[in-house]
Amino acid sequence: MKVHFEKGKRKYIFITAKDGIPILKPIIDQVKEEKVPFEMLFVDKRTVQEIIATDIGQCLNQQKMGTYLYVALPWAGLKSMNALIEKIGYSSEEAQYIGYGPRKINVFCCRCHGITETNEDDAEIECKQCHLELSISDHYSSLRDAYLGYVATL
Amino acid sequence: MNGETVMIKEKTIPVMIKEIDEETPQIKRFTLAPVDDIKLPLFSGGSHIITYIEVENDFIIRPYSLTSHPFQSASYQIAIRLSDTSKGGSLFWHQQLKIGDKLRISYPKNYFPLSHRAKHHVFYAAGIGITPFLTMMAELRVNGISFELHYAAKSEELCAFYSYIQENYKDQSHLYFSTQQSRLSTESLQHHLIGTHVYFCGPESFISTFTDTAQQLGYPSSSIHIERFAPVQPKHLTSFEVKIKNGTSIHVLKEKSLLDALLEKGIKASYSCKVGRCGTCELKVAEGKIDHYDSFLTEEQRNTHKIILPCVSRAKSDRLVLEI
Repeated sequence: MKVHFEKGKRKYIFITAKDGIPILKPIIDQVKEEKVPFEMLFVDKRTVQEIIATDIGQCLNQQKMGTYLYVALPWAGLKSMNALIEKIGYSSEEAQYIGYGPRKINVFCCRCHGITETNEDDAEIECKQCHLELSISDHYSSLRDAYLGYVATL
Repeated sequence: MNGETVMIKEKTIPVMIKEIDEETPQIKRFTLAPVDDIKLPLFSGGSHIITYIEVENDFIIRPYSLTSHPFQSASYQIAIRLSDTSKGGSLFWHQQLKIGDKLRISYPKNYFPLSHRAKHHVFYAAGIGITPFLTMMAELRVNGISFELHYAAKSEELCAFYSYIQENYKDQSHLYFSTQQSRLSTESLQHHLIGTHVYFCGPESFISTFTDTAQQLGYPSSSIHIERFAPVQPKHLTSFEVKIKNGTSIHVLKEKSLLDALLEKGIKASYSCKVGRCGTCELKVAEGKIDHYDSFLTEEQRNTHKIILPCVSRAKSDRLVLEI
């Protein structure tokens, strides 16, 4: 996933785990060059909810308008971090989310409408509920948070 | 007023002036009640109405922010400042209209709504710019949502709605009177916490100073909201030619808007706010470069030079060809 530098902010906060640092390094270097204040917040093995409820949550709550977040986390934790950061009050214009590592996606079965979780790279799967062979399309529903799975073979 | 018969293009409500109160020597508050036995529509904070006053064979048409409580339907209130450069609107309201006079008003419209994503709302008002914030604060108070007001006026005596604000919003309000050496500055923009949305309404210099500061601090554009009562005035006005599809050429004088020039030629161009805000008058441009003065189009749309809001924008080149 590409990260771009959002210029013109008064402060940057980087939220990441150890493996996310290389992804954010080019941005961190740019922020240092611009001499803009920044903060690094490291996510360890606690749950996202625990993190938000304690130190990171408190820190994010106290930031002023003009603060910009970069969140680089494994895909599994990124969505819930996104939801919690939005709940604190950051809009989509105030944060970038970068996922890394293996990514799971949901597939919506065209027949039974059940949701099956699978790996991002899979082209075909079996619906867990009705066992229909599905071909995974690139039609994404943000309501369902799932890609549409068509009948793979007629 | 242009001397031609103007048809009202929208559905209107007949009302009469029920009360006239002086807020300050230059600002009067008018209470408008329905002529028929009907309830007026409720509206959302930040709404305005278009007023239509019939004078001889013409109408004086002006938009005004509603100031009455958005959740009461017996009457509406508007507050009008007597403009130093009045072209007839505020002058007529202040000097000609009296209790009992009838007029027509549009249904409420809202191009300046509250953001429902905000965790905290901060209103910055100068002079008559206070008016849209009165209904916004009323709505937020009913819904228990956090807000604060920063309001600049010359003095307490010249501060419209001073008593009303002190009575209802004293804890949320910061008032600044320039005659008391207390000036509203952009400094407070530095301290708002994440989730704050800011709203600016007042003279153009006030709006641009506060908007520029918020943008420089890194506020996202979706968190900054502005309401202009008058269009942005271009620094240097020139006349230009406009050609339309049927081959007609129109010369737009430097003191006229493109929209007014089109309407005078009998071209049925749609319009509403006339301050470059609502996008109703949007027209496609086939040829020519545009000087944009609106606050509706995106930067990307402006750069194409294919769309113009003729109520405020003008030709950068000598000529424009419109797809109308």
